[in-house]
Amino acid sequence: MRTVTYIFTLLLLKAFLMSCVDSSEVEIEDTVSGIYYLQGPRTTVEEPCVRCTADQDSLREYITFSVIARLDHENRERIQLYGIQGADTGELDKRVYPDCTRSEDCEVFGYIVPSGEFVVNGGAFKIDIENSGHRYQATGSLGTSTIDLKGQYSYEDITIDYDLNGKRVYLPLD
Amino acid sequence: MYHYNLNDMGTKMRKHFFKSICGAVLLGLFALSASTNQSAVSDSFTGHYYIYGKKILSTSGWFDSEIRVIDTIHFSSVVTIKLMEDKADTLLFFGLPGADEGENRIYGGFQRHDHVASMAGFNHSDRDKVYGSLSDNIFEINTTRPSGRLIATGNISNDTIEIKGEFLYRGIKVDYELIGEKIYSLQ
Repeated sequence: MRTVTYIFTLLLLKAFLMSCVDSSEVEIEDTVSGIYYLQGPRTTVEEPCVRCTADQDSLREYITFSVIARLDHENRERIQLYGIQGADTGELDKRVYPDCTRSEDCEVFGYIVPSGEFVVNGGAFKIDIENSGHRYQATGSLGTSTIDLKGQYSYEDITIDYDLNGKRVYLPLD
Repeated sequence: MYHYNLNDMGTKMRKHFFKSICGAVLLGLFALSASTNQSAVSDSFTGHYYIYGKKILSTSGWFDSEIRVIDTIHFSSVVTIKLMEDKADTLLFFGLPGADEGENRIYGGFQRHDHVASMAGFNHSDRDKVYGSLSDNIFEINTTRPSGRLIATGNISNDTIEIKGEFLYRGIKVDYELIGEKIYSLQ
């Protein structure tokens, strides 16, 4: 009898708590935020091409790195991205923010396209940032567990193309 | 002209009273929850870090031990660090330069990589994960794979991190010197 009373009390409490929550304020599940591991070719065209061999006019390298995606709860048309090579990270003279040493000084956002679409289960996004002539433009897509990113960094005589894809990493982290 | 509706006012007051009661109950439950979780261990390490510094690439000759510096690259990256729940003296690194972050380049006509997990890290199997031992705020990484060896030491405290590492593979040596700070915690 005591158990039944206990369960009944719990059910009442649950119903009470649920009635406290305004349906318009319910947090929607965020399946986008997380860690993604990217890989793919990076092709650098610069004049002169310091690291090219004699028979090369561009430098093609294969890169791997991680990116952190975070849903912006204050502006749900965009996601904040940390670790985008060519934008906030990468080589000192080949990224949009060359002097950046703290992430808040070189914020990168991906804006969902078409605009106005709510970010929850991923979707297409674009990045377009510029700083003192350094520019990074990209289009990408986020699935529930995958990411694709085609980007280009440009500054004066340097152009770097990125053709990356990756997976979400499900370490027990967040 | 606007006329006050007493019924509306009464409804608003009841709603306000009801919300106040809800808030008090939720606050009580939160306090109860907090008091029952006091035994949880505080983890100040786990989180994402923005790191920057340099890596110095060098080679040793086939017939002599002379080290020749090929390139010095100043760069930045992000790394995720996790204090293992079941092993409080172990850190898991993800996206660490020299470990599972880096590039494959051609030097001297040969394709060379500068990280131990290489592309295999993409599969995220346990075999590819890079761990470090932790004592107080000092960590050490010493891992050998078919694709190379990484030895690194570092200090992690007060949301900042310092790392010095050395990657070795078939005559290629890459020295890492990196510092950074936490972007945000994962608690």
